Amino acid sequence: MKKRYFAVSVIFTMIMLCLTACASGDNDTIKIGSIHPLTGSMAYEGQAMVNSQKIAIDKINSEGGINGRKLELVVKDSMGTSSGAANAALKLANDGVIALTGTYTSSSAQVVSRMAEKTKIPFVVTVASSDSLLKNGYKYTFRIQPSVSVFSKNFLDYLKFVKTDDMKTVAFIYENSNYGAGIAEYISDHIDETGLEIVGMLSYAATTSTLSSEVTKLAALNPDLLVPIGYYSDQSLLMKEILERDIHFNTILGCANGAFSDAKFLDAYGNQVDGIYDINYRYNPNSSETDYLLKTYLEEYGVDIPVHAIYGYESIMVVADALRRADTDDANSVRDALAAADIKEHILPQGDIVFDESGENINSAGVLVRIEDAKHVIVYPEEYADK
Amino acid sequence: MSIQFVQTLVDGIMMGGVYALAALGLSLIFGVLKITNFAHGAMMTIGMYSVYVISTYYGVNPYLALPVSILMLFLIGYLVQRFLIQRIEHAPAHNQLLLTLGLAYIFENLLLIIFTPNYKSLQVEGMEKAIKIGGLTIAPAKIIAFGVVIVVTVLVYLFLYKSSLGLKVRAAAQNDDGALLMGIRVKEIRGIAFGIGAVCTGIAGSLLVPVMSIYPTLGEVFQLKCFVIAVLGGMGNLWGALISGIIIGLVESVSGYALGGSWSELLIYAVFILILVFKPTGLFGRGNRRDK
Repeated sequence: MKKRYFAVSVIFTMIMLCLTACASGDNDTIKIGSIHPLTGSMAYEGQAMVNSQKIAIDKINSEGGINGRKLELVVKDSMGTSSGAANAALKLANDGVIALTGTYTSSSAQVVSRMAEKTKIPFVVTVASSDSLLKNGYKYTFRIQPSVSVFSKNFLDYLKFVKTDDMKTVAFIYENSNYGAGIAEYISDHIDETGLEIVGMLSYAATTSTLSSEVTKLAALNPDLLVPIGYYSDQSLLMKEILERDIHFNTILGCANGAFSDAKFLDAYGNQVDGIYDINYRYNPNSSETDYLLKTYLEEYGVDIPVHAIYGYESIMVVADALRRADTDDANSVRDALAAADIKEHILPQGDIVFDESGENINSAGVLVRIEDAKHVIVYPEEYADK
Repeated sequence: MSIQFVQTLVDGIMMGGVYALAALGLSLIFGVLKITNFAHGAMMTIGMYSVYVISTYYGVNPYLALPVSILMLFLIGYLVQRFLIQRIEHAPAHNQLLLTLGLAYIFENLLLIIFTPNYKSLQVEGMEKAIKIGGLTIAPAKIIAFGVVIVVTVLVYLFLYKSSLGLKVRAAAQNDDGALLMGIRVKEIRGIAFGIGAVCTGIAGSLLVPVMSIYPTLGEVFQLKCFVIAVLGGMGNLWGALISGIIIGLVESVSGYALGGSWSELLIYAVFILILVFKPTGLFGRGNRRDK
């Protein structure tokens, strides 16, 4: 029995030591909470987001912090689930963060948004594209990235740069959640504006292990324009099947495609994917801050930054900007400062970052990217073209 | 029948074969140990990463990495059984189940720590393009996968029914006390059975490396599918698992073609529920005899 008590007390002591070690943050730091999936099927995306947030925090701290005080990122794993995100938000609120950031998925963002409203801590969305997120009349939620409807409107708008005279038919292949189906349905509702005829709407579950039958069907439909919308692994699988079978589509134009705009996609397929377009997030290639982020990310993490992760970096910059302008460093004044934000220096391909009543970044926009010689090239808007 | 439909059937059978092999391992472990191994998907992912690592770091063809992967999975399976599951063999079934579930999380998170959550993919030289036969196109990786699946299934069959060790495994599965009285070292036999089950799923995973991008939690996608297939074929039934795997592959691909991919998951689990309700021993199962 004695032996067992000993073992238990050793384990207990170790846990306590570990906890105190982890919790021994400087009291004088300003804490910002980060809620992202760090385990589960979206761990890649979530981890990248946190990585880029850390780069932003380090940059601000190395430049002297905010009014002499350092920033501290408190990271919690949402596991990609709503309940995980809710737990994380609760812990962070108790931990005294002045702002929450997150969450990569719309379902988690909804939950955190509600918690933010209740605890009166501002929530800056890194990535979560659902339109309904900002339709609750909440005062504490702010979103920098383009929503589903912004991406869809960008698509209808930018299509003219891709469309040729002989382009008549279009088919969509999209993952069936809020994001993929949301964009596909929005565009198909407005397809009359484009003069194209829809010949196929193919949806699939993002966790699928094969897309063979979908590719067979697409080959038979042979649309002039193929619009794929999905996450990295499923869209990469789609492209693999298309390339393997030598199926040629006249034009491929992704919309917020998790694979097409990712540097890894180019590593995997090289010149085989030249000519593919994507309307997606992107950094502003002409900003010197962008160079810093790209370089630092590659140095610290050994891979190119995935495009969605720029919103991790920018979310911290937006909170820091609000902190500099806020009267005091309590969460409420940070919220008011966020609502009054007008940020001119940033890394996004858009005008100033300004939030409207609902918390939406009114100038948010995607860009049209084309893969040329295994590189991403911005085609439109021209002021961000990096040719 | 249009050529597209034939293509869909062929794709379904090919992919179904891989599912079958993964499910075979699960079925075998259940047949011998009466345990549902929830770490099965994670073991599959370990198989994938072992092939990925060997093939990228030593620059060898991923298929040549297969033997190392097999050895590793056998050891993992054997050790898990001997040192963890064996210790709680008399505990209630749900405790054993929770143990394997806990293992799944440990394996997944280890993979996350070691390999980061980044997607990894392999291009096998000379296999980038599909082979064209008639109007059909089939990826070489899938043809190889299907061939290996058949060979492995036959080998497992020969082992179980034609070797003396296999006889012991079956004896331990039917009546462990009786087997023990006959001088069979039941604990060791169970370790071996678990090891072989793990190897089956590991091979299935390895075969998928040239087909898809891998990431640490990919096994979750296959875990439930394997479970459906093993139940459909009758838990512990070797050929049942093979045929059910192909059936599920076909359901997935035909429904994907005819109705759209969102339907395939729905239909797979609808089939699963129907089987559970109306024929719980599976399509071919006498079930496992000991329970009667």
